Amino acid sequence: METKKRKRSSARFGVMYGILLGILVLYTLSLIILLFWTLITSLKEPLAYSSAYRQHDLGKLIGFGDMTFSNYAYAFENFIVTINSTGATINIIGMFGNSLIYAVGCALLATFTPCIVSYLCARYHYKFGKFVYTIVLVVMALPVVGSLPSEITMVKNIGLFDSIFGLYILKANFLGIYFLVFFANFKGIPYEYTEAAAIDGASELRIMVQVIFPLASSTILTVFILTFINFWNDYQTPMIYWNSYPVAAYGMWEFNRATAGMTGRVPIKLAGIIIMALPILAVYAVFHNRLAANLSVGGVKG
Amino acid sequence: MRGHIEEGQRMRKIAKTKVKRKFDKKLLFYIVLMAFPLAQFAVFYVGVNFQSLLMAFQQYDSFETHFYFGNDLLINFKRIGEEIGSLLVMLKNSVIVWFFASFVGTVIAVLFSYYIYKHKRLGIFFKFVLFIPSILPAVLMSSIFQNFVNNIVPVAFDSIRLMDMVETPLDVQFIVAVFYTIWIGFGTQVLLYTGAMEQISPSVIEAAELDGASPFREFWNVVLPSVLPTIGTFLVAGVAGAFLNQVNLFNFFGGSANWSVRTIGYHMFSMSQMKGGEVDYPFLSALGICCTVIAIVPTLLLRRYFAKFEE
Repeated sequence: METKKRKRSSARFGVMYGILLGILVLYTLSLIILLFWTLITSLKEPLAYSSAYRQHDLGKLIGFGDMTFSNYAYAFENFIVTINSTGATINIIGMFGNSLIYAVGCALLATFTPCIVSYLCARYHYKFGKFVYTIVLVVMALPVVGSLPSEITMVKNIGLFDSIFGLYILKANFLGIYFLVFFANFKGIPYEYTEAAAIDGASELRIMVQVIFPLASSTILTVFILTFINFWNDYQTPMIYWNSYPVAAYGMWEFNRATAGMTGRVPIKLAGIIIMALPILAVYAVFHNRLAANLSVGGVKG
Repeated sequence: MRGHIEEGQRMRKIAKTKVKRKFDKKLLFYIVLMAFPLAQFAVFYVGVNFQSLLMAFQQYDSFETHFYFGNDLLINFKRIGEEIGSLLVMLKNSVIVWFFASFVGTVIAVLFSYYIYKHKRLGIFFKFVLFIPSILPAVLMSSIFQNFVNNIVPVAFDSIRLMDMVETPLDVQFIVAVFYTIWIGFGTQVLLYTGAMEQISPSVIEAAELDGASPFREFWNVVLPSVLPTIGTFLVAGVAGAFLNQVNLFNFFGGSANWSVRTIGYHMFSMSQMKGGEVDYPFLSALGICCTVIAIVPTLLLRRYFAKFEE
């Protein structure tokens, strides 16, 4: 009876495995086809693509035709954004530079602020640490909506608007899921490490920087890469708070909007997309194993 | 004898002073490192939200460019009443997005994660591909998707353009936006769920296998309970995010999406970022308060429900 039941359960999961595998294959295929189409189309002559669309010629639209790299050259030279406040223009290199300044600085602060605060909460037995931990949980659980207008006003009022340092300060907060990730990590490190270092006369700063942080370096680097990618891809925050310095993602959004509905522009647009995606794909290619490393989040209980 | 006692007392005093100095240094270190994050929190969380609360009862003077308390403190809430028809449509859209993204998306993400967790070799490939949409800028992915469904799908299936602001029917626009949001949203969730699954002690899995547990039973009785706290964290955060989710509409249409496809998150963002949008800030703050009140109950219920799994 028990064996029968087990067989039935096993078979049920066997079917489930099959269905899951099928869905996963379909899903990955849909992504791969889309990305492959992007690559192929970015190499097509814009006029040929446009006429294929008008003639409803699917073969020409998705197939290999005459390939050209001129779209890349055109996109590289013509991805120019006009800065609203000054009327000046900025090219793709300038936008990449802005993206780098924004993403690296914000990622460093958005990683190390929760990292340090969670270290203090997890490794020091002050009651205040519990209070801070509770704050994080409460803030995560409290669904505050509609504070963007107030935030914009606050940033303007304290003179941090349109300044990269203003953005850095805005993003240097310890709230959110990464606090819990770091907290779980630091709690898991045995106290013997701290005690041994203290007996050897290491200062508090040294214990943190040279003993504990290296033990959590994998998590720190993973969070840094994730936040870096997040900030690199974000155009809405700099669009509002740093609007005189367009970032690359904003340039893409602007170009996409300006050419909406123009079928002839699609190959150039997709070439631009590939140029824009290259830096982040390079980061992913180098660090994807690290991103796949353990990253666990605790629960919601205070 | 007396000398020995005095010496002992002196040593104890020195030791106490050392401990106190060490304690003081420790406390000082703690305070110094906590100071900036707490100040940031005080200004950009407490201060911003307090100001938002005040703003909900204020009006904006376009000439003097400042916010002030007028005679009618409830003017912004009355405006919500006047615009209730379109706001309810946006609320409905937000709830639909939240349901599909939180529940359908989570179920699929957990199942994908389990498959990846159990099938290490293929899992690495799937994990790599699944994460690509999260890696690429949302504006690039949505641009690729929009061009594909507007150029290739109509030709391949002799259909209409699926994400065109003018040509596509509004209900189709919304369905495609929701589908797209779920379709690209698995990456981070799968990464965290597989991370949580890998935290399960191998001995627990081995014990389950030795006891003859089927794969389904292993998933249901061992793996799922272990990742429930992580799922809970996502779902609780999801309620808060329900009114912030723009369903990528800003990526697709900028600030010009039709009112009937808008979500609350999109509407608030597109109005906040507009040049000269300060006039609407008090109204948006009032709307934010209403949405916060709506979201509190499901948040607390979900939190309470998932907290018991951490016992």
